Amino acid sequence: MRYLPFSARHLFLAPLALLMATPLIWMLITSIEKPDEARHFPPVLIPSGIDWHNYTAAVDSVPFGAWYLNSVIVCAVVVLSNLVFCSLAAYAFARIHFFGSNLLFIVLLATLMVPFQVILIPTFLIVRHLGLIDSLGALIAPNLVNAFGIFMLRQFFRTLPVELEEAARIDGCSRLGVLVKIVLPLSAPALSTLALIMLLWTWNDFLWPLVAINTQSHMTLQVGLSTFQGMHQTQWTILMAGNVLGLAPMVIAFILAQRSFVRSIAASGLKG
Amino acid sequence: MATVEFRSVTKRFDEVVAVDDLSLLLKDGEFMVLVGPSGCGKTTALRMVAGLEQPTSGEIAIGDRVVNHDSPGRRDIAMVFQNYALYPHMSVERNIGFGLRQRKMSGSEISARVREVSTLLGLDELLKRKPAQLSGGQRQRVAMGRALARRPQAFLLDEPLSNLDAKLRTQLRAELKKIHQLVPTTSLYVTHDQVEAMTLGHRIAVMAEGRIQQLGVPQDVYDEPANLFVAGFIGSPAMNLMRGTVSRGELDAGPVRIPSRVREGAIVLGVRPEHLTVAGADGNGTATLELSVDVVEPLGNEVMVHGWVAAEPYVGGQTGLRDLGGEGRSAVTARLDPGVRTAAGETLRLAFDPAAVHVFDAETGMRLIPD
Repeated sequence: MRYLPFSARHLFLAPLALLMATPLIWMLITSIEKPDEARHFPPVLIPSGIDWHNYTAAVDSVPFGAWYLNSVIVCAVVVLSNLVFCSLAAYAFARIHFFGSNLLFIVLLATLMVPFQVILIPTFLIVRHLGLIDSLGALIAPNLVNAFGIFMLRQFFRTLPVELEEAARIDGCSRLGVLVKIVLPLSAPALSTLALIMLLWTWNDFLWPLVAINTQSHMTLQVGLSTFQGMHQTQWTILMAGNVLGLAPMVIAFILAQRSFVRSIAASGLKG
Repeated sequence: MATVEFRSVTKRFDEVVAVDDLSLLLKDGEFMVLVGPSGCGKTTALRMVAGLEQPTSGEIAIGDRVVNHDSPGRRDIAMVFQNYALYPHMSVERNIGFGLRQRKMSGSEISARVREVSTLLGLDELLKRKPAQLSGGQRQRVAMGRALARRPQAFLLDEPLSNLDAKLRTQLRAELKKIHQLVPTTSLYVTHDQVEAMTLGHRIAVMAEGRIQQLGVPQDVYDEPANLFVAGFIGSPAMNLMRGTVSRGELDAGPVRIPSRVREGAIVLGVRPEHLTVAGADGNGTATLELSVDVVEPLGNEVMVHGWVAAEPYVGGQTGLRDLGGEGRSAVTARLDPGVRTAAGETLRLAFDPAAVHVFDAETGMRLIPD
């Protein structure tokens, strides 16, 4: 057993990984097949040739570029605003003692337990009242700050040695200065994790954009792709090509951010 | 530079009184050591000067300015932390210069100050490194450098040597003293290590339970401890303490019987380990006691002999082998010449000068002065 290039654990994990990857692989295969092959049963796993036509068709047949751009804009704004607002709120909850801070934090956590479907209609009413329905603002405004992000960053900030912040205050930093110059640079792993999570959520969000956006040119990619699925027939090959294009940025972002998940330099200035 | 003053400062954490009506004046340029066991309030006192804790009552003044309501950054003090608290994401150079940048100094002035300090502390080669790439002693020097570069009104040092190994601690202790001689800034130094207190302080304040037990020049505190707590705390190994009584001009504590001029009543007798010697044949002018030896520690330049004498023990405030005592047995340590040969189980007759003993009131614990 010792000479095998894998451990017994892999006998269990490898099939599981294959199971997880199957839909993705199938999507990739379908995206380069001809429509007959895609509809064939049993499924054709090795296509006769690579048909890039599906990709050009996906991009040309609809305002694909506009959807892509909309998704990018919404994601960029939501990710950035979450990094700013969540870290400000999280720092206050982590370090500043104010009246009712614990109660307020519990209330904040409680909002995490409420499923989005429950607040869908109130959110819609508020956003309509703001005059934002059917614009990108409708997708941005409700997501500018997120309770989960505040919770996550607060937990991370509390692990940083408080002496670093005290030293900075004695050196003449304000509270905000401490946050910007000491806490945030040491929180890169947590911040990049939050950025990635927000990016994935926002990029993949479907229900709220579907409800909030009606005009085709204002749709995000996920909602736009769903229009390939007609009531009577679905152009599977083109839909899958669009999905591959939609998925690619997330896979790349995940690979890039994965490293900083692991990296943590926070404790290195202290003894040990 | 400036004076630092506590004026009747009290700090409560809910029901716990950490610092109790503390009044203390650090003279300009003075190196003051606050020494005491953990939880005695010394660190809290220091943090109140830094502005990291607010006094419950009383005033803290730096120079002639009451700073109770000033933020830490406005007090113009620098602090060295026990765990150094170096900014991990900045190079040594940027760590030292951080406080100067916060004060909007010009770049050339900052680099001049950083050079000056790094030369003084021998950090020139390390300026580009990150704290993680430094050894414990180097980190400690950088932390000192960060404080020195600021040229503050006062230094606050919170057990700065306690995370270092014994050898490095001794070395840096001497360096600290040298630095203070070169840059005589008012300093408040907190430690639980009585050796650091004795060697570094111009004056030391021995603290327990939030109060100063004794304030004075280290040698005076050592020679004339004001009460049983100080007697047991200052000195290593600690003073030997045993219960006894004084009546009709004679002090009687187990095997010890010496003339005494303190007031009559229950007392605690204290004899420093180094005041005990092996009794000679004549024994003129000395008092003696019989020590049942338990443990012998040869240290090369001296030998430490731990054992017990037949006297009622005084329990409280001591550490270590005193636990060897018990009912009717008082633990005693003697610091003897390395030539002394003895072993566990033997009995050793020890002599001491009756004038070198300390006598304390058994009730109040206060030092008793002969009439």
